Amino acid sequence: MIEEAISGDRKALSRLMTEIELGNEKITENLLGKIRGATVIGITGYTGSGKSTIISKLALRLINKGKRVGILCVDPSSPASGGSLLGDRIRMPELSRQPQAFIRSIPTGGKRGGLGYFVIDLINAMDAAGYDYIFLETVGAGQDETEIRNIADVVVMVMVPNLGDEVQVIKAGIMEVADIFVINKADTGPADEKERELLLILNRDSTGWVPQVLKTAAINDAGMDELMAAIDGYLLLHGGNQRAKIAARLKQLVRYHVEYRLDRLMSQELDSKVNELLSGKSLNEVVLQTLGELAK
Amino acid sequence: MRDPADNFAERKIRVIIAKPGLDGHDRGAKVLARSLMERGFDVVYTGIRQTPEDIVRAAVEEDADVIGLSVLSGSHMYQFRKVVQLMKKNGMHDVLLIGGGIIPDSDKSKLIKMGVSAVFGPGSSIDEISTFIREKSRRLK
Amino acid sequence: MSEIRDGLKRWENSKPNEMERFTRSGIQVKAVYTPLDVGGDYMKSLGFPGEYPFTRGIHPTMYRTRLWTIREFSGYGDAIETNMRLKYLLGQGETGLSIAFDYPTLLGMDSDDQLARGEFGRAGVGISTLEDMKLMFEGIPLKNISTSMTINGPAAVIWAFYILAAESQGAAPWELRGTIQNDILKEYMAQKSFIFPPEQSLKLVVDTIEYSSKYLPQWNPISISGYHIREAGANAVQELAFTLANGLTYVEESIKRGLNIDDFAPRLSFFFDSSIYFFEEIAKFRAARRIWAKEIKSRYNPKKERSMWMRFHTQTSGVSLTAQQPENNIIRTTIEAMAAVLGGTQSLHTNAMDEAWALPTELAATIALRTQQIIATESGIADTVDPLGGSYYLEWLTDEMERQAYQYLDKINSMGGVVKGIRNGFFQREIAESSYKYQREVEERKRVIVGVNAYNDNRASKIPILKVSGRYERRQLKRLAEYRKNRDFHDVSEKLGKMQKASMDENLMPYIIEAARAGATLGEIIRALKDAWGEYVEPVIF
Repeated sequence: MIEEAISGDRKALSRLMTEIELGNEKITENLLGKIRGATVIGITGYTGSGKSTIISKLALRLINKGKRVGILCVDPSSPASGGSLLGDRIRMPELSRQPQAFIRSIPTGGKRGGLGYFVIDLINAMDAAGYDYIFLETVGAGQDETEIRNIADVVVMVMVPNLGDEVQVIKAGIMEVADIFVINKADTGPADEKERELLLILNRDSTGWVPQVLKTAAINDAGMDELMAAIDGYLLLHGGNQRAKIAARLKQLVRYHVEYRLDRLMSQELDSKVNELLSGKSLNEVVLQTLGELAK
Repeated sequence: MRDPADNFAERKIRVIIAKPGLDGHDRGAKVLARSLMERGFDVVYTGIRQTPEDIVRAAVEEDADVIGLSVLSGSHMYQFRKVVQLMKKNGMHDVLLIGGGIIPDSDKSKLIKMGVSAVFGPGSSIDEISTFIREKSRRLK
Repeated sequence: MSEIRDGLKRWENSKPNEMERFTRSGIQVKAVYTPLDVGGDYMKSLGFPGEYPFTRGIHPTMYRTRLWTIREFSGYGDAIETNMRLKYLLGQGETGLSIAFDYPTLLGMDSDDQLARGEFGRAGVGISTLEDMKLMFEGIPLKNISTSMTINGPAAVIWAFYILAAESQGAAPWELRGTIQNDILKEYMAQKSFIFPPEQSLKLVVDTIEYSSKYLPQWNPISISGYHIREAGANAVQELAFTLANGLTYVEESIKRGLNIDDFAPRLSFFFDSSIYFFEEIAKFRAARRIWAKEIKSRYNPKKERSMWMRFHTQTSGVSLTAQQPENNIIRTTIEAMAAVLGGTQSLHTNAMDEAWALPTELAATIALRTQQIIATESGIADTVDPLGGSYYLEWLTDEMERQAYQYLDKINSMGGVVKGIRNGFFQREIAESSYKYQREVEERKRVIVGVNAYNDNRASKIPILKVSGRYERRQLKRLAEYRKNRDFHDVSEKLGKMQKASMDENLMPYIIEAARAGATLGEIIRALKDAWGEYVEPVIF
């Protein structure tokens, strides 16, 4: 299956990704050896900020340059039902018709918040299948952000002038949330003000690269060339860090798989653990026993 | 509403709800998409004005287990025929194809012969549809 | 009054326990209404029919002088086929025509467009060229007939074709009577047959209103619609509020254009739904008239009374009909038609019983027609104006719906208006919520639908269904191919170019007419505008 996916069979790649989502670790292992080094661009921001439009515009530019582009759209699963509404691909109609693009939705699944357990494996699958650039689209701020930092080669945060507390969030110390900040729909509100606010905080926390702030109106294709250039610029400057990047990503991958096994076990066993606690076992015992079960 | 039999991180049954052709009446499709999500499905809603090629392409990329088409404009025979053709071309013989909208009984039987698994006309309940999908989709263990 | 108050207390204490009841839009309905529920001044809140605030009707004697117009929606196949159907209907005594177009036409595409595959002539008639329009009205003198055309995105172009077709028959623009629906705002909210982005589309609508006020004094350039909003899932209060908000937006934009209120307001018309929850619908119509009159008066202070009139067409609700036991639909349609008449509609379309299956057969369409005729001639409802006026329940409900509608209007105002609301998905969200809620209520049996979730019988329905033949499409494609060859394409290109240049700065109607006259097709004109304005991709809201 991996071979077919690598040779360009879209259906095979899709099936491969499903296998990964079903927890097939053998495939994950095999893929590790087949990675070619695709560039992962993280795009994060609240719903309605225009992430999908931006991804569309950037991806089309890359496709025009002869590149193949994969897009992974992460959407939250309902904690109540476990289901999800995967509505991101619908916002990229032009892109979804390009043969050099491949769009796949990722529900976060059982994982509370975050990006799902298998996002890195899915990236590796697309990488192995020959996609040069992979966009990872996620919603929201907070925990997701730190995870995406370990996975993506560059992170772009998209905001809109009127809505959102991102500035407060950044101020509150969840630092280095992104490498590039985009104020999209800049023609609809006080974009200059937001830009100024951001530049003030960001300057204070720079570590070499001063995070760039751009104003865009993606729907009119305004600012997209500048954004592409900013991304290229960042990647160029940080190209030397490949080793560190791969290490960080692998670390995250291991963590995800440990969490997957643990969460899976806990979802089945939690009731019995509680009973054991109630019947007198110590917390330490219960925890050690659980971890022991993981090893089986 | 969670089905306790679902493994927590197991990939859920993935359903594409699509509106092929030019008909823009999406009330039913959207209500169905949302309701299926609440019953534990992963639903990809493709929106209106989709071509059969768009829909099958999305189904391939998402590795969908089910494709549901909603057509109220009278062009259902054409739309379904095209989708069935494309599904065959892509080897999607184990993907469930269902339909809804304004489809007369006489056309329903023609569609079933063509390869559509079920047609849910006006007044169908979400329970009916969701039960059908759970029982018939290939994602049964 | 204090006697009544005491009586009410006594009555409430002695009555048995009962279930709570709600209208479909969630307004709680009491067991009984009394004079205590209706305050207010008769003259101020009701007045006499034909006088401000027009709550009881826009004409003094309403149906006693002239019945509402019976106008049945029709069209399918190609222009030639529809021409025969129109002639037939006129022969049967219909005095007003109402044209339904197919999906490609509704979206401004020619019948040979790639995306039109499989869609030609199924939902209505397919019109791609001026020649098609001429063929559709061949032998029908447009000078003597009133034609309503249900078209929105490309309305300006279809209207141009109509004007030119009439011209070729020797009818001058000022002689033409009719309506184009042309209500683009509701497309973004509900029907989704938009083409261009909202701002440009709105500009085009104002172009038509302006052009109409100058050159077609007998024409209604817009039919501000609540029907589609309601059918998409909105409840009665939302239908009322969103329609009024759209109407006020069109008026405001026209005033900004420099038009005088009295020059165009008298020709604005409306289009409402009439659904099955009887009294709520009647209250809705009355509240609509009152609110519109109040708003136009207070905002613009018109000199003509007519500028404050809310003239409306009504269609009974399609979505309330069932596929199961379709004969029941005749009864539903009757109740809904009665509500529309009791609500004072100016014209009415009654649905056929096979609405949930296909376009109507001749028998079904005839029964729909007879429904109106029986109400008009046998039931006596039309013998007095606003017969239910003064009912404690109805007056209270009218006031309550007005109050709730104003809450929405204030909210829409504070978010910056309708276009802002569309862009940030407000209307779509409200509608999606209402439709989802409705489905839940039906599935939980809180809302009963006979034949669907109650009183089911597994009787298979054996009503005949209309079939649309594939030969119309073949005929059309052949004609269209010929047409494309026989024109001066250079001239067409030039006219289209001029139109594009003028697109945002000048009134487009003259340019569209010139392009049509030169032989441009519907698809070509719309494509040229798409190139200039872009295409709208909607934010999807559940």
